[in-house]
Amino acid sequence: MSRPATDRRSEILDAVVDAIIEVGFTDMTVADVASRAGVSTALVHYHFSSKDALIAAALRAASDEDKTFRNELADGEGTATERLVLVLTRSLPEPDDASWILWIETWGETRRSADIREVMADLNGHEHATIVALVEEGMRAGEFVVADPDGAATRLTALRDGLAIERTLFGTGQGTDELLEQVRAAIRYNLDLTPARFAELTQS
Amino acid sequence: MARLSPDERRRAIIEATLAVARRNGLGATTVRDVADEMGTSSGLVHHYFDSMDEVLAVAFEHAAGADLERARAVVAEAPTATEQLDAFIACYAPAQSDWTMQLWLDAWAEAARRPALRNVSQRLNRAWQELVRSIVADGVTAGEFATDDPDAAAWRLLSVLDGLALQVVAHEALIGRDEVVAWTRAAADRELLPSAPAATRAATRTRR
Repeated sequence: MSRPATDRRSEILDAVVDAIIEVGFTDMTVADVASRAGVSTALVHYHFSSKDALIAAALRAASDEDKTFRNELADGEGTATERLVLVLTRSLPEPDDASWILWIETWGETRRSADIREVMADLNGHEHATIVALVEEGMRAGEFVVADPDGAATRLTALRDGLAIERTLFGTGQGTDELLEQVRAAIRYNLDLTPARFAELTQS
Repeated sequence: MARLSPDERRRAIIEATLAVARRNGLGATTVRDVADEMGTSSGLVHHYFDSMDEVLAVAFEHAAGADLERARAVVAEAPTATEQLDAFIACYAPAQSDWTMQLWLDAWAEAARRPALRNVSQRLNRAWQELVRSIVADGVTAGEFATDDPDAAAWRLLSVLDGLALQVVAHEALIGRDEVVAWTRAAADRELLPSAPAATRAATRTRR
């Protein structure tokens, strides 16, 4: 029994991500992707017009997964502060984290490809907008007062990204617990919360 | 290219590699590209280097290491730890057109596949962290800063800077070098002057 076309398509896209992580954007070939996915090169060409189109589709699919996961965290239960902590800490990497390796690979390409730039701008914009919305929600709920929600969102994602790069590539710096604590502390500072008030808002 | 010493040859290969990497990216730079850039054969490159990984690692160290040396020199000139930290931040914060930052992004992207490049970027990263750690530790000794963990504080400051640089260079976010400098300084104040209330800290900073 042959599998539905949508399964085939997503298997091909998973194979693209594996290939990017293993051999990189430059050396990845359509034939390599086809053999990883266990399909013919012709079938890959049937679904995608070019290597660039294939890469863009794979990144878009990976980005959609990230966005869906983030939306679930942001729309979940709890105070806005609690959900901010979740959005920023559940995205922290393990060493050799495949998803982070993919995005680290992709950052290097953003200046060289308009399609990739668009996917990354969209993904980055989604995280920024999610965090700003949570900060504004927290302010409306009287959890905290922040002068510059936009700047706070940029600073918080910057710290998380910087820690994640170090952790993903070198596995050094600090362990998972320390990273968690650093991001939590940064949230506290950026929202101008005392440790006691922060604990109260994140106790559940 | 007649009569170059081995050192000069290696240097010429490095320069050619950086010229190609600037156009195509570090990961897409091949032995053939470098040879073409020099108007010579791939054999010459192979004669002076064991692998393309080694060529890329040495080229990256040459370009990114120069930034570190410059920062060390500027930091050494500053009289107080506070001014040393400001000097470091000014050196490290990228402009949007920053070519070295793009090299760093390329090196990170290639790190998983190229051990030599990974080792160089890890070593340089640690050297930057050590520079910040020593500034912070000196500041604590001099009574300018207060922290019980200069090592962790240095990692955090470097991480904020890396993440902000990423926003500027890769994401083309609507923040510029000035914001990167201002926000990193604010983060440093928060890290290193924990007992002073925010308003006092801001005032102290402006007066200085």
